[in-house]
Order: sequence, then C-alpha cells, then structure tokens
Amino acid sequence: MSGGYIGKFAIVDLSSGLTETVELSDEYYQKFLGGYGLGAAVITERQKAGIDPLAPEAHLGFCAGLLTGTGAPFSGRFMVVGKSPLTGGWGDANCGGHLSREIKRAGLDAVFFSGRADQPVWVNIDDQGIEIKDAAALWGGDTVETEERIISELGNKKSRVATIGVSGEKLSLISGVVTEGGRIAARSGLGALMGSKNLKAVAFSGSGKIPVCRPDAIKDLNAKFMSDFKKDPRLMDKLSIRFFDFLSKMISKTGIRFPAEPGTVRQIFSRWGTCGLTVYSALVGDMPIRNWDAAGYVDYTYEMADRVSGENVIKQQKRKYACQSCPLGCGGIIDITSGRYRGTTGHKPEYETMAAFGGLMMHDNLEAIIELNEMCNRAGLDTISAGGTVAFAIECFEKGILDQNATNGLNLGWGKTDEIVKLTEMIINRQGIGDVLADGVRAAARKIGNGADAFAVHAGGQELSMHDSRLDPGYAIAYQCEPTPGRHTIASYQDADLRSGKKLFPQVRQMTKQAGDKDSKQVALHTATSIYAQLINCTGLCLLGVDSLDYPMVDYLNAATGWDLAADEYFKTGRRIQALRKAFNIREGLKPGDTKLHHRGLGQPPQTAGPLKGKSVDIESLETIYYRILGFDRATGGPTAQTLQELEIEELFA
Amino acid sequence: MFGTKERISVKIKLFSGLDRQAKINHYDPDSGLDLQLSQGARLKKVFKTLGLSKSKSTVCFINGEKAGLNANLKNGDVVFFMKPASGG
Repeated sequence: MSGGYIGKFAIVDLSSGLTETVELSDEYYQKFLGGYGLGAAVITERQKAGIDPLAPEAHLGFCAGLLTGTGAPFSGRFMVVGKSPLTGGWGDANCGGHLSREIKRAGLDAVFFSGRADQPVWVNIDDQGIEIKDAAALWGGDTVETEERIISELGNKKSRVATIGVSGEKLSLISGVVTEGGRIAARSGLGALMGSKNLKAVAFSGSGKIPVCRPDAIKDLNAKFMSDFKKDPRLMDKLSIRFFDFLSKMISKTGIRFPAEPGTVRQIFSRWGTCGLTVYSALVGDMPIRNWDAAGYVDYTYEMADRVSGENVIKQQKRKYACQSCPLGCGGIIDITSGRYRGTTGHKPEYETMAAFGGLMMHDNLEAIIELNEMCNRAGLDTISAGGTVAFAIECFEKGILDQNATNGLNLGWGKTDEIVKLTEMIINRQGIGDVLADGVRAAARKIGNGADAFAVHAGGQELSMHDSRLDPGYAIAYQCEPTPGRHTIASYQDADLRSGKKLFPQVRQMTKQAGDKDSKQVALHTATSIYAQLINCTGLCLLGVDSLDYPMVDYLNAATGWDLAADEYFKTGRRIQALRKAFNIREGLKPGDTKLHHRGLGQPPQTAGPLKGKSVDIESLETIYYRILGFDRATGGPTAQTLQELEIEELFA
Repeated sequence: MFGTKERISVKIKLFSGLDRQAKINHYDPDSGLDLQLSQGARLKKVFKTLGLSKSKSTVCFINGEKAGLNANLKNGDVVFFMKPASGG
C-alpha cells in the first residue's frame, strides 16, 4: 500500500453549491506530491487560461502537505493556492499552525473553491462532509473573532479555521488568509481571491486516519532525529558551523570579522523566534532601510535597532507556541500592553514584520509595531506588503508626490508612529488614500502617477521581503525569477549553504560540478536550493526546521509513501513543480520584464554609505545562468517545450 | 594627574545568547553592562574582560558599525556583541 496522502480532493462550486470529489492515482502524487504541487496541477488543468483572478471561474485551493500528519517533524504546514490577483501569475502562500493535519483528517488532501456565493458564506468540512453555511453574521468581523465564533458554533475545539479579515472582504490585493489568531498565509494576495468568492472562512476537522506505509520506519527515523535534535550537542555544533561557514563568506565580503561558533540558529529561534534576528539584520545591511534607500546603522542607528530587539519583544511573551509536529517552537503569544488591543493577547511579530514596520519606515516604536502586527493579523493583511506600501506612501509624501489633501490630512513622515498607525488603519478599511494603497505599491503608483512608480519597490507587483538583495544576491534571483516574485522563502545564497540538498541529492553535486566558474557554481547551488524548496513546501515542511539541521527528507518520504524512490527522482519532482508554476505564469501572459526587481534592490546606483556601500547586483548575468540551469527559455522565463516534456507536464500546457 | 592612567567607560550589550556565554554574574538586557577600561583600550580587551573566546563567531559593532578586535574604544562607546544569523 501507499501512504502519506489520502487520495482525493474536493471542489466546491460556491455558485451552485455543488461539490465534486475527485480521486487521484498514486502516480499523480508521485508527480506532484501535495501542497502547492498538487494545487498547481489541479488549477492548471481545471482553470481556463488568462481569466481574471477575481472572476468566479478562478479557483482557490487549500492544500495539505504530503508528509503532514505522518509523524514527520516540522510537517504541519498547508498552502493556499490560486492565480495571484497581486502579480497576475501563479500564487501561493504557506502557513503553519495545526490546520494542515485537519484537512487530511477530514478525508482530503486539498479542497478547491470555484464560483462565487450570492451571499457571504463559510464552509465546514468534517467527517460528515462539506457544508456551506451562512456567514452574514461573520462578515465584517476580524479574524480572531471569526475563528472564535466558528469554533464556538461548531462546539469542536479541534476544528481549525482559515479565515479572511476585513482586508480580504474588501478585496485588498495584499491580503491573506489567517489561522489560529494570527498565523497567516500572507503572500500573493490570496485573501482577495477568497473574498471575491464571498467565502469568509473554512473550518476543517476530522477523525480520519492518515495512512503511513511504514509507521515503524517513521518511528525509527523520529527516534534518531529527535535524539540528535535534543541531546547531541555536537549536532548543534555541526549545524552552526555549517551555517556560519557560509555566513563567514558572506560577512567577509562586508568586511566583518567572522569566526565560527556553535548553536546559534536553534538557540535564537527557540529563545526569541525570528524576531531575535532583528538587530543583526539591521546593522549588517540585511534589513532594508527607509524604503530601500538608506543604510543600516548610518540612518537606522544601533539605538533604534536595539529598541526593537527580540529581547524587548519577548518581555511581553506569555507563552511559547509551536506548530503541529514542531520540536523547535519559534512562535510566541504575547500580552499586548498598549494601543487598541491593550489587555488582549496576540502572536509576537516575526522578523519580517519588525523590519517592515521598523527599519523600512525608520520607525522604532516597538509597542506600535506590536499593535500594527495585531491590526494586520486581525484584518488579514500581509505585514510585508503593508509595510512596503506604507513606506512607499511616506516616500511619495516626502518627495511631494502626495500632499495632505491626498492623504486626508495625514502629515506623513519617516518614523511617525501616529501617522503610520492611522495610514495602516485606512488601508485596512480602504478609507481615503487607504483605498488607493490597499492593492499594493504597483497598483497605487499607477493611480497616483507623477513619478510615484520610482518609489514603488516591488518585483512583479509583490512588495519585497525584508532581506536586502544587495547583501545576498540570491534574493535578487528569487525576487525576480521565481514563479512567485518578491519572496524570501524559496532560496538565497545563505539558504544555499544551509539546504542546497547537496548531501541528499547526487544531482545537486553534479549540477555544481558542471556549473563552470565560481559565479555559476553559486547560482547552481542557489537553483538546487530553490528546487529542494519545492519538495519542502509540497510535503508541508517548515523551512526554519529544515534549515536548522540535516533533514532526512528522502527517508521520511519513502517511509510514509512506500515509493522507495531514489533521491534524484524526488529532485526531478521538485524541478517539475518549479517548472509547472513558472509555466503557469507564461500561460497567463507574464513575461520576464513583468517581474523586474526594483533598481534599489539591485544597487543601481549603489549606496554611498553604510554596510551596503558600493554594492550592486548583476542580475542579467545571474538570471541567464539560473534559467540555463533550469532548462528555461531566457526569452520567456519559463520551461522550454523540451523541459516540459522531460518533466512530463507537457499535456497540462497542450 | 601625572602617572595616573585615565579611565574610559563603555556600554556593552549582548545579543544572540551571548549573555549566557559570557563569564558574568548578572546581565540586564535593558541596561547592558558598563565597563571601565584604560584609556586606549581595544575591543579585544572587552572579550577578555567578558570571558568570551575570540576564536568564536562573534560579530562586534561599535556604535552600530562593525569593528575588528583591534578597534580602539573611546569613552561613551556602545558595543554590541552578537552572533551572525539572519532570515525569518
């Protein structure tokens, strides 16, 4: 028998209320695994090319990872998928928590929604089946209230809810889908896709068993893995050295002295979470400052960075929080002590949020950042894009492109807390200038005109993540060339050292060997990392977990599924899924020029002070190497006909 | 005064778990540590004083700017010690 997957997905047509359940072959799972691999295959097959992503015919999917619920550690993530209304290409967003397993317990690997309900609805999926319910009373509610009300109505605390907030209802193109009171599948604007269907929320629960082919093998793998993870300090030494060896190279380029030391990654994530990285990132040039136009420590000073340190965040931490099957536990629930949510609790802000509402807008008021984080989580707004958009508006104001008439009286400026909070509130509610900004910087710049485009920092319409591509050019490749542009959770040069898959996949070693010069070798490793990330995502694994130690992914996959495939077979699957998502973009009419990374992210011109002084990225050359390694056509930015055929997905695009 | 070495005061802040590695009795992340050093002291002196090994991966910033072991310290400097890691 096979295992890992349930073997079917459902499609709910919200226009007619009809549900279709589709069984899939073992071969289908071998080809696309689960998560967004399965999602991209199903949507490519069933959705007409070139449709408006907010049209009723568009599909929205919730996909569990292939390893979710099998007992493999770090495997609790699910993906929301569809055509991105923000970029016009393939869209997916990844989220932790405990929902992924409930999708499978409810007897499905994925559920897709098409059509549009006449009135707001929510959908409950459990052992009894799929039920569409009236959401009139929930519409307009924030994500925390909505989740509480649904769980209370169901009387089942095991139910896990994915919901949009006000931003998704108002079709903000920078909105996402929220679960567990503040974990968010944030990127690609899929909250708007959900809102366009009048779908407020989906609840999942079930008692179904998730099949595992060789449960004893999983137990053995876990025993070894957890023993390494918990007890063997040498493992942590190896880890950190691996991590630091790369960083030493990176840092040496910036002139920072670098000796190696064990234990850092795990120590930082488990003690502080990702916000424990804020100060370092601010000072070395990883955190983009003042809309990517200023410099760490020179402009965003060490005093400012120190005010928003992880240490200061966890002073308010009430308890730690771990996602399903996660031994690391980087999350935390904090007491909110000021602002409109004073007296309540919420998720602590991640590094991305600390940077987006911090250095990116020269802002260092931690209490306000915590409030902004909670506002966005409750509204279902992506904090990266929201921060990027507020920073864009501030710069437009500073440059005289927007004035107080345009901003409804707001006297915007760098670091001005009250104005930042007010503007974010206006974006959430689409009030005044907030209505223009709620669709992200690209759409806003088009509406504002007058040269605003110069300050709209994005790639392909998506605001960039909080990792400066001038420091790590791998991010430049990811931002510009990946199927979902502007994102940091795929690959970078740093990631390449952490998890290029060199040990796991012979193919990676061959790719590096064949690459040629030093730059090509680095891009080859980066590309391998991106391909490996497809496997990590589609199996529902967490990047932070996989980054923090050698993860025996092939062993876990073979134990769960019984496929007993060679490592390179899986690597080919990763290539297939990567190519599929990129080919989807070509089918939807995207061209390489449409996802161009903003010139500031490339150091054109280079900065004249600070940690990134003199740095620029030759993206043309990196992009050429990257596409060549993938077997993509430089002119289209997607797989050639030959590559589609080799990867056995040519029929999807026939 | 002739024959007396002047002293300088520098503030030390420890990040990334270095508070647990330094050989110090107590560390308050808010106030950091105030160290009195001789005039002309270099950064390596702080490593020694804190009991942090120089061979380990610790990155230092004086008033926010990265600094090497031989950097000179002056009165009122703020020194951040941390381990390199980014992401999230």
